[in-house]
Amino acid sequence: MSDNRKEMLDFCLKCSICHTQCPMVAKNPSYPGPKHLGPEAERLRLTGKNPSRDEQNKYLSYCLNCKRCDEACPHGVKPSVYNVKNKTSINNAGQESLRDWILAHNDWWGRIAGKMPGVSNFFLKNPFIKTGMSLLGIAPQRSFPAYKSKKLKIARDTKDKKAVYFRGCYARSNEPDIAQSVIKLLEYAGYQVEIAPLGCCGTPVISNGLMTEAKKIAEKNIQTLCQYVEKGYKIVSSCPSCTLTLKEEYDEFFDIPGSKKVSQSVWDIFELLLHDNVEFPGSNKKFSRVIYHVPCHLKAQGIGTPAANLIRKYVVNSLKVMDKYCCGISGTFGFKKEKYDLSMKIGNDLFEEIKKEPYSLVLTDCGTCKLQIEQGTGLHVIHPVVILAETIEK
Amino acid sequence: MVMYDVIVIGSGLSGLISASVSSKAGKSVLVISKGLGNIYSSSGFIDILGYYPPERKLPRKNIKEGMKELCAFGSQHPYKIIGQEAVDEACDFFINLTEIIGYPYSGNSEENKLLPTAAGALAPTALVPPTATCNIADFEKILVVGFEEYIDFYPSYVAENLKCEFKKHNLNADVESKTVKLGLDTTRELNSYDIAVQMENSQIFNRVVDVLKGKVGKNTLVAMPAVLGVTKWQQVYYGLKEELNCEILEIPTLPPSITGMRLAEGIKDYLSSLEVEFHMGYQAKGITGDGTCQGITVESAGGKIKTYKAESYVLATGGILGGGINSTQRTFEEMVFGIPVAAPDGNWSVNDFFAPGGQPYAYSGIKVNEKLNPLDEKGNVLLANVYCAGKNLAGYDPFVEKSGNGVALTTGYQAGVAAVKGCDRK
Repeated sequence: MSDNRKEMLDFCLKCSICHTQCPMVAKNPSYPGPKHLGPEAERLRLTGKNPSRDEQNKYLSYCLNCKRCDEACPHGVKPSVYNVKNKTSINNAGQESLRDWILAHNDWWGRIAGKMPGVSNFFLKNPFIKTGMSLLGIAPQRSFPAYKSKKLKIARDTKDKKAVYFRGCYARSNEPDIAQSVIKLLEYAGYQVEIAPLGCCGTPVISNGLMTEAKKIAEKNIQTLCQYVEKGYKIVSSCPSCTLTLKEEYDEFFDIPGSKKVSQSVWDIFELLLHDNVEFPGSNKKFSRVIYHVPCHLKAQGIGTPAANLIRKYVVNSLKVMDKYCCGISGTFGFKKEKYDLSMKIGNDLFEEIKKEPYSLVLTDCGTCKLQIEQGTGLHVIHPVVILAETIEK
Repeated sequence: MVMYDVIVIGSGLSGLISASVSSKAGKSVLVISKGLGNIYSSSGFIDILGYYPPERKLPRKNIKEGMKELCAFGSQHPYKIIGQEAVDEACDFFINLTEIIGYPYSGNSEENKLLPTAAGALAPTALVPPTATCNIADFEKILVVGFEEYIDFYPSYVAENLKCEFKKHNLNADVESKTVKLGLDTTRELNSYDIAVQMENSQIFNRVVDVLKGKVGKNTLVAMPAVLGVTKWQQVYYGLKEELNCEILEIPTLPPSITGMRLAEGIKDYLSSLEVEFHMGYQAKGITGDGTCQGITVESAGGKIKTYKAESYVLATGGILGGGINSTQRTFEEMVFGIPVAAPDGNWSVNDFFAPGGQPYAYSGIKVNEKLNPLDEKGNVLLANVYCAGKNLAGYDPFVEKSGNGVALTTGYQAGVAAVKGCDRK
């Protein structure tokens, strides 16, 4: 952690505004909340006098890292940063750490399962496999995303504008249509596109407190992406959590040369399209009554809602933008047996909002938000890149 | 890049009001804010002018008389700059706005009412939320109720102070207090928000009903800390009123303030429905040239700088506490444009913290013209398309006058009106 963060502790006035914005506090009364678990406990930790350390730390695994506390603070304190950093100190029982380790490595499972999607999907629904997962501490009620593989079409021509696409696990192993749509949009915007030869961004590993391993992932990603940046490429991602991790988390938690250079070159796909003033042919808007859930990790990037700007302009007649609620899944959190119910309870406000009206489309950028909304509402959820890419003629 | 008609910097009361005025006028609006505004720490009650002149011992009953004195006195007070008519219009706008958001305020810009604070003092205020509409003089008996698990509100302390205050104001009522146990887990400290969330739980709600039902008469006013529900306040507040069959008054609490929060979130939801965009969590900086603002830059994750442009800009970033003005013991700095901040003549502070005339530094801030454009030291307009609102304005002390939210509301309104006119001129 930088010295800057230590200094920032003194800016916490204990006004508790962050406390009122925490989705966990609202649904779990024993959770101490961002102000207490973050800056207050950190001050005690720094003095070495934290008598209730273990007692406190068990709650760290309940921090959703939605960063709503960080955005709420009028004085620039970021409670979530202390929580994430201190997750390494959680002393889990053996079985829980095995389970967390398994969930944190969704990248590996995706690579294996993606090789034979049919077989994997069959096994993921198999009751025996479900029972086995339950014994390991994985929520049996949770629907797993189906695996799908697809050969991506990329144009071979050389162009001045170059973009390297960081796919992330979900667009690679579960929904390659997202990846294809991003490629289509980038090519339409005049980019020569390349897929980054990289796997996981490290978000699930970081959120399970495996910081040593996360650092290794970060080093590899930064090293590779730096080479692209030096060759004039823009780094583009369509997953808000990958984007936020590449933009901010590496620089926040690890001291790796080149991380600043990478973070400044990372773009959310819609952020880039809007920045480049790309015009789309969507003159006759196809959809009306559409709801868009803004993922917490998109909101935390401080770029507004570029997807909403473009979707409103080209695809949709009336778009309701919902950035008020966390969906509650928080990556691997909602897959954990003891946390499943809480995860659904947190998402309930959002589910109710979506079910209130007969929306023709439900949109969100994040793969796990999508899973959660589908589980909570039974409705199909689409990444906004897919409907924007459809406006482009073949 | 997206162009907006109006960019509002700051999301406290003044910023949210400016955004509402602009958006209702059909303008596209972006709100940029470093964090959530101090409205979450404030009562949300609109005090327009409680005490004037500041040294006055007893609150003013008639606000307009106070305003007249204020305008006659050759000061730089924001009310004097915008004028009584704008103050009245802003109050009407606010009453209408709160009706739309389903949290209807009552009161007017003529007359103050007296309501108890969490310390048991009687404080003057003008516009009040729906959970504080009663007139305390109408009751024979007042029962101050607190909760055992809520340690920021002491019912007996409030009741004892209220008795003294009643004598001072020649009011008559029997004041008693009671503490109700909610049966909550208190392994951690609970604040007003935690209690308010719990009150939405029917089990907890029923415990309150069980303790108080039948023990309060029709002529009793039950005064409680403002923790009667967050989003479901209607269910809790009106439900309790019906069950107990008596009038209930919510007393604003120490931060976080639920009454302020309900107002802020209500307005924000309304703005979102009007497609107003929010950019939260990062400090804004202004780009200036040719005597105007040419755009706003905001840092985003990873340090990439975003630039936003508009026809008009509202600067509603707050004062020293709100972060709009940074101060050391010798200097002031306005954080977005570097607009010169007028410092008080002579000493900036006096030794008596609660000095009757207030602290001189409170009068520091940006000097403006009648359109709320910022001025330089010589009185020339610095930025013709920037309009200032709220506590970053010079010339008043909200703490002793009890005018904080009043100035925020009325100047926020006026800045919004000016911003809309600024767009239309183009």
